[in-house]
Amino acid sequence: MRLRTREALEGYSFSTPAFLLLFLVLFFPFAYVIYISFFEKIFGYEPVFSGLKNYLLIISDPIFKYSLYISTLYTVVAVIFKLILGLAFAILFAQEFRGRTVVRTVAVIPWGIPLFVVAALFFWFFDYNLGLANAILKALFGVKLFWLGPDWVIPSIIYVNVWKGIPFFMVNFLGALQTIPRSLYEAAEIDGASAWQRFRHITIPGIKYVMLIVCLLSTIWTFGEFDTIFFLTRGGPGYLTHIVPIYIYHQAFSNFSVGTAAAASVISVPIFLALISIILWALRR
Amino acid sequence: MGFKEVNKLKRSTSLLIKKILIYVSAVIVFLWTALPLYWMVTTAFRPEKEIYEGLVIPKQLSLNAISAIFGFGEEYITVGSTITPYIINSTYISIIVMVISTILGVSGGYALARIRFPGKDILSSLSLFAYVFPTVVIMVPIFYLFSMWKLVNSPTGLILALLSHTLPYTLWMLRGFFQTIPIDIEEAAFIDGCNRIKTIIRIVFPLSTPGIVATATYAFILAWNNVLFPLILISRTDLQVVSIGILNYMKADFVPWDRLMAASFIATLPPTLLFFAIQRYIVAGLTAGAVKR
Repeated sequence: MRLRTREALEGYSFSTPAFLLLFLVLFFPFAYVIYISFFEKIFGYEPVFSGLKNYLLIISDPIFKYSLYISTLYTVVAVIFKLILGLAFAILFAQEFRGRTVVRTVAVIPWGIPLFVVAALFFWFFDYNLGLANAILKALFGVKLFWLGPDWVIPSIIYVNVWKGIPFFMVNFLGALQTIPRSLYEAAEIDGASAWQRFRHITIPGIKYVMLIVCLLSTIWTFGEFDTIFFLTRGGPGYLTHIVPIYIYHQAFSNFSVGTAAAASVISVPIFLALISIILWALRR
Repeated sequence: MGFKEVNKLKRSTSLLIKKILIYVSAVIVFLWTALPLYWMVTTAFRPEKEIYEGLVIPKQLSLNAISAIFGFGEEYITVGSTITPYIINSTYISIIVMVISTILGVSGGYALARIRFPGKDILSSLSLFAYVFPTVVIMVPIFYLFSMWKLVNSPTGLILALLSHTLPYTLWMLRGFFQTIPIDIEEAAFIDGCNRIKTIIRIVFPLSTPGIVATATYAFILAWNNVLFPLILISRTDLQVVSIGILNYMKADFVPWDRLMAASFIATLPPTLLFFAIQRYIVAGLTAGAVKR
């Protein structure tokens, strides 16, 4: 019994510094954002309790509705593309071919590059007159696109996110593919299973938990991602790329309305919590 | 031609098709990834006037842009026109963040992995939640509270804010690394009369050095790459970090493309090289639970 108590004391003394700091910089601010979302609060003025007013305000704000819509669209489409292309890349690198190591190393680079550099890089890549993207399009099809103009900006930001995000999917899938025993494929081949059947009944079940975790993590991070879109478009042109994180930023730092910015932050929390709970479940299983 | 030969021919054609398919896909994958990177690197290393000629392949190389962003050969040097102060600030802030989150992460992560105490499972889940949670959710209260606490425009404030992102990560990853050390070795040390601290220093540290180094490195990368906290907490140019330095280049009415790409290239070297050094451990850490059965 005394040993148990001693061990518990050790546990608390080892973990207290970390969690005390986290309380200060994370858990308390998190509680505070919920608290302040029930107050009418402008920078420089005293907060006034206003109940659910902030929530009603942003829910009736057409820009916020659009933000939710465009964030969801952006996230869902980007994650689907990353899933498909990441899996395709992983299957390619599971094959043996000459130059595999070089191509694989290059394919992983986008994961290592900071988001702000990815943004700067594509800002230049997409430039209408001098960018490489239009030079290639012009040489191949004789057309040029306003990549960050109203017509193409949404596909373009999805393209940037997919380009940056594929290696995370690919590397995790490649790791999972290697855990599938080769003998399973050989047995299936002898039994006359087609390539599609092998993919459907051996590959997919073999990596499904990794797929689940990777997709959920990517969904959360894509939905909460601020950097590239802020750098590339600042939410524009107009409000076209005004995703939820940009909406929060503008409410707080352009309109100085802390209350509505807090309400907008809190509204997406239940979705994140649900997704993370599924990840925890999949990790524990 | 007999039945056997036909089958053999079929097999070799399908193998050939497979081979062609593999090489064509490899070329596509290579171009898809490399073209934007090629564009950054070549722009960083070509003379300024060539950029406006619209050439895809550079005629000559030049170090002008790289030396210009460090302030060489410039007539007027003001704070903010060179990248040097940004790089210095980013480096020392990221190092401090790395050191604090590693020390606290090692002690906390060890407790979560090895010591039995009430509330441990909740704290473990909490650190995963905290790591995965998007930082935009606490953007508003961090700015608001840090203004009250006089932590705006202060390196201390930025370091504290960055810790909210890196510390959950080091806690969760190190917990995972410590769990992979066979518990028998530690128990043997206990029986031999080592106390907890001695066991950690003599047994646990040497066995988990790669994991600790990799986790510390990634904490550095996370701090270096962060945009949100310096954006909202730092407005003084002399305190600013490299991510916002890049943003300032992009905000100009006439973007100096060669310098923007040179600065981006320099800013991406430390995190990217470090990332490749530790990539193996990072991947294993995050989805380990799902891969092993």
